[in-house]
Amino acid sequence: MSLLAPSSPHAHRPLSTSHVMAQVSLATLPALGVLTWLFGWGSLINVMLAVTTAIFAEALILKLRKRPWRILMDNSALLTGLLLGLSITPLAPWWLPVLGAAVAVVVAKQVYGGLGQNPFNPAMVAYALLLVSFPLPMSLWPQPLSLQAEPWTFWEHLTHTFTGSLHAIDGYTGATLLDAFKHKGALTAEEFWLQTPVAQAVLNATTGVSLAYLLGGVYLLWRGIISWHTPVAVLASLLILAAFFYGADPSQYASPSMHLLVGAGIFSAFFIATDPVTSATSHKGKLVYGAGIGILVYVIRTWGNYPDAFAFAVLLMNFAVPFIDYYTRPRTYGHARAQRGIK
Amino acid sequence: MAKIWDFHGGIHPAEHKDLSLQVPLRQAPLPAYVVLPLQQHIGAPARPLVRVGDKVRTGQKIADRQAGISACVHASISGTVVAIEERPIAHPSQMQDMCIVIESDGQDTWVERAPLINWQSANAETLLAHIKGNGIVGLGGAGFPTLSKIQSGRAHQLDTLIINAAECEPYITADDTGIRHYPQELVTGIRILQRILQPQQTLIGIEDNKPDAIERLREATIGTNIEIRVVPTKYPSGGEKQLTYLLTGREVPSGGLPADVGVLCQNVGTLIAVARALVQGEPLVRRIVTLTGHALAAPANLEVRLGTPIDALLRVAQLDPQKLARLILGGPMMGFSLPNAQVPITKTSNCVIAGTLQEFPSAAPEMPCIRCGMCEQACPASLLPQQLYWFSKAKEFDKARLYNLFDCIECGACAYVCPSQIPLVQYYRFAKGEIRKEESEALKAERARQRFEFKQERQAREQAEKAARRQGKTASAVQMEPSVQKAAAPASTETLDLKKLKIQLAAKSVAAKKAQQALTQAQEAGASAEELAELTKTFQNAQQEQAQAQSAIAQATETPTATQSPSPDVAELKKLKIQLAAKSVAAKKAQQALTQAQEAGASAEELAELTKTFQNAQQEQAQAQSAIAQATETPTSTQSQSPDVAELKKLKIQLAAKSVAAKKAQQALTQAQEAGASAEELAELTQVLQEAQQAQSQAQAALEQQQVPKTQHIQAPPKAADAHLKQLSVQIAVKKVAFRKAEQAWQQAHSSQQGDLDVLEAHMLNAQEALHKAQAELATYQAQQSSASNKQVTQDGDQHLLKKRKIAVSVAQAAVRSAQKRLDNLSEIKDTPSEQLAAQQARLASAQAQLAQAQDALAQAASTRTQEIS
Repeated sequence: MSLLAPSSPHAHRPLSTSHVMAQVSLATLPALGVLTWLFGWGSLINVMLAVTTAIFAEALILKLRKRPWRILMDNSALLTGLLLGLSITPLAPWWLPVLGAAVAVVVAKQVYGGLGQNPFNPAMVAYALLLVSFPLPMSLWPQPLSLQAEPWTFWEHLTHTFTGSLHAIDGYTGATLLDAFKHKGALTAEEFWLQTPVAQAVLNATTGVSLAYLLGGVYLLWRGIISWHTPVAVLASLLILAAFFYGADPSQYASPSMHLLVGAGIFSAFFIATDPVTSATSHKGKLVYGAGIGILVYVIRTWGNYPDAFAFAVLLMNFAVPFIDYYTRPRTYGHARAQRGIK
Repeated sequence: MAKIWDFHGGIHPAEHKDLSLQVPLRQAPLPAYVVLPLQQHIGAPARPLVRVGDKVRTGQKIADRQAGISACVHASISGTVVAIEERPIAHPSQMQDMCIVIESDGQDTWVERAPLINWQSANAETLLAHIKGNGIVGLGGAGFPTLSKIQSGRAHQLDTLIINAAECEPYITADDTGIRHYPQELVTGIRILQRILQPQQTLIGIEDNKPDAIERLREATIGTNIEIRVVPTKYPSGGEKQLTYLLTGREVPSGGLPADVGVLCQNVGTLIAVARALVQGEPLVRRIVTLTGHALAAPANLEVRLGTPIDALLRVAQLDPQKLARLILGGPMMGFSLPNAQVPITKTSNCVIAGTLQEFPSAAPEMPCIRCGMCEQACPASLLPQQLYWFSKAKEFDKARLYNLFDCIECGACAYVCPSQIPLVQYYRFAKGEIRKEESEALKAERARQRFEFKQERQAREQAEKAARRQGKTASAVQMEPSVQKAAAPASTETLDLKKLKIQLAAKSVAAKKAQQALTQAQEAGASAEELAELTKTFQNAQQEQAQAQSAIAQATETPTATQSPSPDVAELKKLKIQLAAKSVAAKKAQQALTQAQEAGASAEELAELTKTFQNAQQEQAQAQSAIAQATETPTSTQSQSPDVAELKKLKIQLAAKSVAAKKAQQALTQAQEAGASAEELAELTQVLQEAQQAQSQAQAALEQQQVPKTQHIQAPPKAADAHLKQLSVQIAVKKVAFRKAEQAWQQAHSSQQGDLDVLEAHMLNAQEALHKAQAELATYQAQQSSASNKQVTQDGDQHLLKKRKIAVSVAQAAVRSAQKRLDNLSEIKDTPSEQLAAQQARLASAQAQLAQAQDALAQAASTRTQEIS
């Protein structure tokens, strides 16, 4: 009798990377549903295009790199495509999600060596690239379906996506609420809400989407897939800053609830900033990392050029991750104090 | 309810404890034979007291403890000692170790037991003596001799005794069973320890998943000052460090013991064994073992005689061999898997898991780390497992240490939770092993360095003697030359002679060629090494004769012209040149022979012989060269006015010759390395090279010395101090050269992974030290100088002094740093002897003292300077 003699530990928790990725993907589904319900088929089409492209690009690179196919089963390409598809405007032409997903997988992930090696969040790299390169189609959001007289059918939307022949008439589109608020000019906040009749409807719709993301985030917390540190730090820092400035001048600055519910706040806090590969390691580090994102988002939203800033904030904090990691190491058992930096 | 301090991390693996708790504890049947390893504990193995053929009785001491940390071994059954030999023991590497094998007589006759009747009134020493005499060791898993643990605990200020009943590993129920069946013995054991240690509090730490055991403990401890602390079930709460924190809130310092924070931990099983030893006089011959796993039809806890083969126990538990996929000794988290069951139960074996493939599926393929941080959340030591993983994988061991790799207790919690199925603990074991290896190698290098210092001293002495002898020889040779000349001259006038010589040469050439052919043929035919050696010798002889004939012809041809030449010097020169040519030919031939032998794969001895021949030839060649050089120089030197110049030239020539020799030696070494010569040969060649290099650097030094005074004469008035200074500088230059050479040699050897790296490294370090010493010497000397002539010193000189002092300080700093590093390395290794540590500490202290002195000197210099400036 001779048995295999692997070393300890012999027991293993039945949890795999692909399972983690699948859980995160699953947690986005409520929001995808709400997006489709409130803004039409665009998001679903985006997600399908981005996911297909991402998986195809991953497969291509794996073949080029002569890596085993089982890597494709880790669901990471699926998740990247999904997150990108969700963050792009429902009115996007087909090449936006396709180009974005290809860039995310090939340039932002596989070029660095694949899963676990990329310093920057792939979906956000792609999003930032698209936003900088194609600002117009990227910032054109549809009005909620409730404001549309004749919402597109799925086939109509598909035709629009691929041919662009069905020009979205003016009533269908508009800048995002954050964009509109930013460019309210001399209006006070109160006047803005009064003078922009659709604003309240848009606010309601985005709030619905945000709550759906929150639901998914809570699910991930419950399943222990993510820790609370990053999302709480992101949202808390954002809210604290918003509350401070809103408290100082409510007529000029957006309210904390608007910062929280409009735009990509909750989505990014639970699904983007928690990307394990590109975020800080320790709990303390995650708090610092999340707070950095929240602060940057507020700063860019309020005083910067872009209406929303999660992609840039996350990417900037990705840069800072090694630094954060060096200075937020936990105190090891039996040591008087935590070590900082690296000698 | 007393406070429980929750530790960071931890996991909740499936427990599977009920599997072995279905049936009550029972005695395992007596085995037919037992195999008792002499080392069932941490520390020195026991020394056998019995011989093969001896009759032994149960409980008889059959192996005695050694001094220091050790424990004795007792016969666990009665019968006959049938073997004292190496047997496979329970070890992951299928290691064998010395064991005493006893064949049972089936009687189980006990020796007369010697209980301690009145342990309640006995003093601590008596109690300890009984613990010692009964071979008690920690039964929790590590097997640290209980006597040593208590003694080291007594050396500290202990206030808390902790009884570890947590048993946090899944599957294992041995301690649980022990508590439920022997609560009174456990309490007696605790009271014995209380008597020895006199702790202020005694705490039993037990996980809340053992309600029966907790109830029994409550009943048994009524009326005692023993407190039961129930801790939440969480792996690894049974780790000594974790339990200490859970119950007291004190953290065991890194690299320390619980005793450092006033705590001593003892395992349940150990205390029951202590009680049995003292109250019943029963030495440690049995223990409770959990037999569990789904490949067993009747899992149970058995009281097993030590040395019982595991396969016998598996039969008792009705193993289904078809189902068995993994056999684990210990728990599923920290136990190790056994390749087979033919190994004995020892004092530390608490659990045997016969697992099925469903229970323990083969490891899934390792996926890339996604830095999810689950490992960090699980780590009970608050480490960053994923960072340690990256560093271990990239072999960045310095960083791994910086991230406290050695605080990892290898509990496996990180690997358990890792979604990418990375075997993290394996990476840490690898890194730890590599670091320990590096440290032991550093230690070895240090020892080699010391050895080398002695050797070098000896070699330097021999070299000096040799040089002296050689000088004497060349002098006599120069005197002899003219007479040879005269003798050769008359004979050479006849051309007939020349012809004869030429014919001789042709014959010799033919002979040489034939010998070579024969050798080649033999090589191709695959002749035996001896034959080859013989043929090679013939070939070499032939070549030598050929070379001799050639030189004879050359002499004959040259002499006529020599007679015509006006100066006898020129003739001599020619002759020397001929000699050189002959020697060169011989050297080249020897080299060829060596290369051939290497290609033919000759034996190491042959190669060594050939190498020696080659080296001799080279040496001769070099000598011839230097002789020529001397001869060439002498005429000019007579013309020159200054004898100094002549000497200088001579030295230069010598240097050139030595350089040639060194280069040749290096070539030989490189060739040998490429040919893949054996380590010894390489070492020999390296030595030759080093000698040559040394000779070269000596020559260089001599030359520089010669040059220095000359320039001094011209430029400056002779000053003894200056000369000494120069000498020191020259020394430094020489040492620098030596160091650089040593470094090169080491690098070469390192990159080719050949040769004795230890020796080379030691040599390099040695050279470096010598260099530093020389620098320091210079610095001190200059300091003395400047202080002597303090009044006349200009500011410039002061600045110079300052710089020197600074150098001295930095040299001292470097020394301190290296001493500190070595000390750190030593102290990281757990079982470094304390004397060694102390010695290293002393070394560090002296280095620090030197540094302080140097800094003082620097400060003084600085202050003098500022004073002068102001």
